[in-house]
Amino acid sequence: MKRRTFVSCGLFSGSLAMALCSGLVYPALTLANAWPRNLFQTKSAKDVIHGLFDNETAIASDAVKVSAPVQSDGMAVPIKVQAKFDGIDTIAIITENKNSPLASVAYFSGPVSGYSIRIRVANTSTVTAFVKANGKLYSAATRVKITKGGYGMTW
Amino acid sequence: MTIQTKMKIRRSGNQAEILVLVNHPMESGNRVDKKNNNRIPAHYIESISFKINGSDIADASLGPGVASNPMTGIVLNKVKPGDLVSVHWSDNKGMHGMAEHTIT
Repeated sequence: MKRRTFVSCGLFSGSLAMALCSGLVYPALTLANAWPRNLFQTKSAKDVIHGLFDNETAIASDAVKVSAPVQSDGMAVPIKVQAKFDGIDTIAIITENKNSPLASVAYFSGPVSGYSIRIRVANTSTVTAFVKANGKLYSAATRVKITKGGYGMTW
Repeated sequence: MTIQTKMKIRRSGNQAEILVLVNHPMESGNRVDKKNNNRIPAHYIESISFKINGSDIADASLGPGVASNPMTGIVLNKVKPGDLVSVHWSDNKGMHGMAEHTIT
């Protein structure tokens, strides 16, 4: 057994983890990508995009759809990303005007065409979704208007 | 403290939407307790992984900017009734949970 697998197995507890570690080695659980701490702590949206996708420039595309309610409570804004591509690798959701712009990033290894999550948005701002499919980077944005809640309380 | 994980699957044709609801505080670490002016320590889900019939399909990283009781969903193509979808999440304090559901 590889050392890393063994070490990360030690972090899990319970019989489920033991079962996973002993026989069938589940790559995603034991060798999961380490949580990208620096990306979540980066304060500028540009740096986050750079960190996630290097120097690729995103193509604004109609095939990517980001939907959010017109007006919403800033404590929970449901964001839904749908993309009409085959072979989606990554979907990242990035909010402007925030201390930590990166809300969530998902990596796919199966036939997936959408990703949705509820995020916190401080005040009215643009939410951009970046979709990487077949080696190309696409993006789409939507404006989220915060009418109550949020932690900036400005609108 | 036990944290509930709920999963719901909506299928239409060979496409299915998988929704996962975790009753998690998603404390960002920036909030201050007004009673004693101490910071409430960060406590948030870091990753949610989705599997279908035991093989990986998605691995999502979440940050402190995700709402409390996060509802996370993916839209899966090429599914058929009888497929087993399982979800596993873990947070920054080492807690984890899972849910399983069969597509009908």
